[in-house]
Amino acid sequence: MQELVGYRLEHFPLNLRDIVDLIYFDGPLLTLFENEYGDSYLYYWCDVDEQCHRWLVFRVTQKTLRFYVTQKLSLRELILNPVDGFLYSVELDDELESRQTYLVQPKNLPPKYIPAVDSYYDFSKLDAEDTEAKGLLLEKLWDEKHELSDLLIKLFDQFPVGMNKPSLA
Amino acid sequence: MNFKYQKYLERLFVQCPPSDYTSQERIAFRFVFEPTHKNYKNNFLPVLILKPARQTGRRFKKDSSKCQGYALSFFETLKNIKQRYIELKRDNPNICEQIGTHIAQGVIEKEDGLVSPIDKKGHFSLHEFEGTQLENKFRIICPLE
Repeated sequence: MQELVGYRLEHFPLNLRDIVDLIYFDGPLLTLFENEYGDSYLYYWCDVDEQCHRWLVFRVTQKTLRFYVTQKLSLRELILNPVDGFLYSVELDDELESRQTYLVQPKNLPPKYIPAVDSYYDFSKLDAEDTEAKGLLLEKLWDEKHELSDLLIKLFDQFPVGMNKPSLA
Repeated sequence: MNFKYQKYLERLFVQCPPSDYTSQERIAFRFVFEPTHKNYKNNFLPVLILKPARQTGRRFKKDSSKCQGYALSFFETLKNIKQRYIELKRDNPNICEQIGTHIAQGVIEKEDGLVSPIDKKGHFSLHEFEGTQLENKFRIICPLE
């Protein structure tokens, strides 16, 4: 694994449940989680060794998450500007038990952990086999002020058959 | 004919492989690790054989998803697999450590198993028949970097 500069924690302090894999290839690479209050966190896969996978975990607001999935913010921008000013680095073993946790500042991330400048999202990155994913994501991103029809069209390629196009006037 | 992971597929309450999987001869490309890499031995193992603990996660909650977890991923063309790599690397520059260091090419034959329809990105899955040894049929053709 890459060397990481950070502040070691005794244990991972958050109690999160996974919502949807945003990027998936033979395993999750970016997964949306939430805590008991509905705050959103992203788990970003970044490294692996014989014992553990390393993930960067950071909070995102509903607005920044929506900006990410609608291509107004890149994954790079999310990781370099986390809402809380830091990220957790969590090492999980094959049994998904946490082995090491660090607090890390974005400026100390190894270059290999930083997505490209053009790391914009598109919905084809959702796992095609995960049929619930689009619905879960839509539920999470729902916001009365948001232009729902645009989001639906991006999620489903076209407006879902049988749904009335919402009026946002 | 039995599948390679028959005992796991039998536990599922869905048709596995799904009915649209067929027996075909097809050129295929797959991400693999080079022979000197620690993960080389895992090159042709499906995700739920490699990481059984993942079955308990949300992703594999449904039996249809578990079924997919016992299949192997391939691409139809070299162009498709290289494009997928470019996309993955854009988000995860360290992705080689996860998916593989090289691309391997081989021919999947009718007696190797059942394959899925090909998706928009040229990706398809294979449920291997018992006795299939793909490591003997695929050879590395280029590094990812």
